[in-house]
Amino acid sequence: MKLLVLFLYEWKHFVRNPFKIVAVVLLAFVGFYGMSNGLSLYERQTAEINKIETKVEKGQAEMLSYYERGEKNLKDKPWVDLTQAHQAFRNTTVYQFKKPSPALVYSIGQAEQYGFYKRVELSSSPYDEDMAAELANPERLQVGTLDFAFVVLYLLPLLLLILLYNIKGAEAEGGSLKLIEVQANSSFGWLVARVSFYAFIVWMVLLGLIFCGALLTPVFAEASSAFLKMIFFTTAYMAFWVLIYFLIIRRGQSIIENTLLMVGFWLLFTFIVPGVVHQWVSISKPTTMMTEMIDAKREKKDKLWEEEPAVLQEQLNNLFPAITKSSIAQKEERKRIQAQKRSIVALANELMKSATQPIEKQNKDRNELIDFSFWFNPVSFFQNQLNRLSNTHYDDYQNYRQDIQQLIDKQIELMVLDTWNEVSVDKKRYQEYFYQ
Amino acid sequence: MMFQIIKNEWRFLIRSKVILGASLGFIALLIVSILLGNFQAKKQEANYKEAKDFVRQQWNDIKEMNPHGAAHYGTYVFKPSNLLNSLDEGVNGVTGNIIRVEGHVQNEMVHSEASQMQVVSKFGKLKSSLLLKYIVPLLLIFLAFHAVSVEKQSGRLKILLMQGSKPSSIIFGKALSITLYGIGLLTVVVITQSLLNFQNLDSEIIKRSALFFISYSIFYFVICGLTIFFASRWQNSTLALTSMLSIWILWTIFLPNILLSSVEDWHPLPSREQFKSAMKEDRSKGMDGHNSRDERSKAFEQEILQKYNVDTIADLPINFDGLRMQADEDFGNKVWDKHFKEIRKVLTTQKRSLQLCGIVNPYLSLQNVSMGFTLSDNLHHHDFLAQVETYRRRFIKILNDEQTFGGSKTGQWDWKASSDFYKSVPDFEYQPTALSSVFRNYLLDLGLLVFWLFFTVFLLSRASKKMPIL
Amino acid sequence: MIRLQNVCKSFKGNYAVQNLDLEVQKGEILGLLGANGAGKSTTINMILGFLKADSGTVEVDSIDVARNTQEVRKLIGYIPENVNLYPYLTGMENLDYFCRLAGLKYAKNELESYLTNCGLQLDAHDRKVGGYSKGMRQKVGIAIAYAKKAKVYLLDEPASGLDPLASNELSNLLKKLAEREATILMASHDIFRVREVCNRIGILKRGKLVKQLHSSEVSARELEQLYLEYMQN
Repeated sequence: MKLLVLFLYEWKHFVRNPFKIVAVVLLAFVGFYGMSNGLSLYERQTAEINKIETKVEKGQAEMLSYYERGEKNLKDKPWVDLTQAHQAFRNTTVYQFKKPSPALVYSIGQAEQYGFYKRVELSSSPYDEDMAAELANPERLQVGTLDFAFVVLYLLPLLLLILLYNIKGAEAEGGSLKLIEVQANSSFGWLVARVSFYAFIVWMVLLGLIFCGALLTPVFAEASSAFLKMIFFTTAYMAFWVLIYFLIIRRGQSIIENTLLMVGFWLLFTFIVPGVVHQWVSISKPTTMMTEMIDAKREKKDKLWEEEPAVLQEQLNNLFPAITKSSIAQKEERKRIQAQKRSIVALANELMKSATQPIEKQNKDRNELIDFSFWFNPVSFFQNQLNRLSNTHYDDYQNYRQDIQQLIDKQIELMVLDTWNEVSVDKKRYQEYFYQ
Repeated sequence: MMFQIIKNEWRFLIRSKVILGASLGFIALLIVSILLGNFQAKKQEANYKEAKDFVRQQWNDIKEMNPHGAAHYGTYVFKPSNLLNSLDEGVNGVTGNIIRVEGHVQNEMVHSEASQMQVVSKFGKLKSSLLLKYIVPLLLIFLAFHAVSVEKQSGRLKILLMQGSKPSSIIFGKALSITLYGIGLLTVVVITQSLLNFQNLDSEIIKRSALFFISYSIFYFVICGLTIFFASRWQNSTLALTSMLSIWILWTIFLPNILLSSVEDWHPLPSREQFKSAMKEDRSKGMDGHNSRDERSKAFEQEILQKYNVDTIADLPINFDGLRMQADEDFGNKVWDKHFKEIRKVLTTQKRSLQLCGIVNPYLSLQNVSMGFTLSDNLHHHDFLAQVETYRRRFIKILNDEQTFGGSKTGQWDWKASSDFYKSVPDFEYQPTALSSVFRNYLLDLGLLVFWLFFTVFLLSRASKKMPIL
Repeated sequence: MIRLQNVCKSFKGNYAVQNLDLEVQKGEILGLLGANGAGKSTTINMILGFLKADSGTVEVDSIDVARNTQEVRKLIGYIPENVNLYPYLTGMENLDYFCRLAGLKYAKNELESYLTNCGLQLDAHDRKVGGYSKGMRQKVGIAIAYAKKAKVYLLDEPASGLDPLASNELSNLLKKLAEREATILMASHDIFRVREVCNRIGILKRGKLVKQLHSSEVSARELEQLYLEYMQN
């Protein structure tokens, strides 16, 4: 009961301190601004994807019309025979998208570091040059966008600092702390009640903002778990800072000393520790220069064209055992060599896949090193959790790369097997390629 | 008199165990950041050299190859780091490391460090700039605040004035003494960095380091001056400190984020798809180097036949395919120049708008010059890209010329140039941007820092005239 | 030496000092008695030039304080209730620092003699002021004014918080200064100390000088009675 009274009495302290009220209002305003930035990126990416999808659909419909009309050759490239599988694939534009999560409104994460659409061809790789991110000012990318996650991770501790910095210190300096201890038997409950009041105020503001964010994009419809996770991580993160500040206030006796310690901890966890970890990761796992991939892309791929037909055939048979029973496998050498040449893209794809494995391994090691730092690097931990819930974490883009690779693999398999089985592509088969 | 005040402040900084301990700890942190920065730069440089040598070796190992095949085979350019990058990494972490150089197409730079791992730090690695830009100003705010508030609260200010000290001497003396403390930390950074790289110091690096030093010194004076202004003018010392802390948050955390996003909204860049589609459309108006049936290609063929005064391309003493490829390339270059110029124009306008925001936030001016003088801003990045593109054009022209004039005939796609030819093709050599060629771009930032310097002097003069003593 | 004529000073419409006429002669010690808010500190701050009188004139050595504040300050030594010196400097260093601010440079032995004359023990000279008692800090404060060769000493509650011994030492020191023709104005609550040290006493009430008398005219008990009467009426 006494704690509740203290809790409610704190309201009077709060409303009579315009500085603290302004700070809370400012955080709410900046939080909303951060979410509007997330919303803007979500809308831009969605619009861009829709635009490209329309273009792709138009292109595919145009191709389909050739099959509907029973025309074998393209108008502007009369030498192209569309009944051949490899030509059907080469002349059809296919994209793999990474559709933005509605939870982007909460955290932009690494969304601006990567591309979110990729033209997929038989010779593509998830590490192609066109995987570059959207055109953006690098100086802005380096500073980052002020999203809601930024507000939570960096500004929320500052708001708590502003709200809590003079609790107990003011009483200790003014000489009334002893009176409080005598009146309340102990200052612990008094302190808990006062700190809880501000934590509650901030928590309510954050919940309100998270709810508003969910209304800006279809979070409830498409990412309801992200909404709950957002509440969970924000609450946990806030509790972490409230605990730190509570411990500082509990042992401190002066406003300046408490403020300095609070600012010190904020600097430590937001600047110094992540900065040290980042530097440490760059030294122990430096940025890869992708030489393995370059080697595969140029040297090894080129050498495939110089390989003996028997060697190529063996490699293809290993990759697609069904080839051995195909119609071309039984035919004369000229036809077999022609099919081999068309299938080299499959072997090149395998080369690229094995070349990118060490790169992905290096990235994985780098991330494991960062994961290890989370024990003493809480801000980065929470940052990455928020990125995960908005599907903008490194792993989400790694999954996107895997989706691209799977699409490439699927297209290659279709093309190779249909080539070896001398499938004549018609409307139905074309639809099976691209409309399923 | 001012000298006495500065001397006394320094006695406090040295004799206060807390300040001395914190200073020594901070100096140690600065030195560690420089050592780590240098170590990382050297490791990166070694990786860069290894990758560069690997790619060049592959090129040198070409035994025989058709020159146009070689244009598609292409090469790779890796972005080298500079000695000064270890002070301020700037945009290097987000711009990518590798660019593929090949015929027909200008590739983008890819595989940035940021894209190779999950997020670690929002404000960057533990480089000197992280400490000098964010932490040192905060330290100076606390020291400058203490320097004034303690005099006021203890009532010593009255005695100082009774002893004949002028308020202006007290205020400027304190501002200068705390600024000197910041400059001391800055000196530690510059000297340690110079000692670690003594053999590589040249006039360019010395000039850039000096400008880096001067810019930070001015900013530190502004920070100290403003804190002293608030602390001396405002009766409520807690309010004075929180005001200055709010300014620090506003300047270093809020405004850079908000203003950079805003300038991008005011002057938007096209999307990558828009940019590529526009390029593709313009490119389609030129000839297709790979399509001899193309009409523009046929017109070009007629032009060449007339020039050589022959009837068919088979009679040409040269390989027409090479000429057509180069004509295609030249046209592509013009298209790229046109579109890239547009992008460059937007980025320049964005930068200019951001620089003007330095009127309300000197931290932005500091950020600009800090990256600029350490060769890590967008301007230097673009200069690198421009050098790569110049190289690409030269590289492709050499290959197309070999195709044209190397002894093959039109249509001889199986003709191959020798290994010696490929070895003779020059490798890309990055020429670090000379300060003299870019210095004018930073005049606005430097000018605004100087403006803030004078504005701070003005505020301090006002404060010394209207300082509430009681 | 100090002359205030018809001086008024108000804050937000309330008079802190009202039509005050006051004179302190060379070699004289005047004690100002009064309750909190009576106008003692306001009077001292007007003489120091930190506050400007709304009307009337304030002069020190016939120099108008409002017009020549800097000139007047050269003549004055000021000792506040708490002489907060720099805790990280020694007594000697503090004295040296404040003298240099006044444009005076003394040899070490001269500084030592100033401190000794003001009653600071020799072994304390080179100790950091952070470890000094309040009385010791007061002595350094007086040494600063003394070394400045001040003609006028203004003391605002100098004995507040001092133990009886330190308070007694302060009284003797002030008397010694007065013997050397220093003019001293001292604001205090301490009726007994004022009666003992000062030649003349003024009682301030709500900004008005309600009574002036020579200390020889009254005993300490009579002075207390008189003071209480004025305060209660």
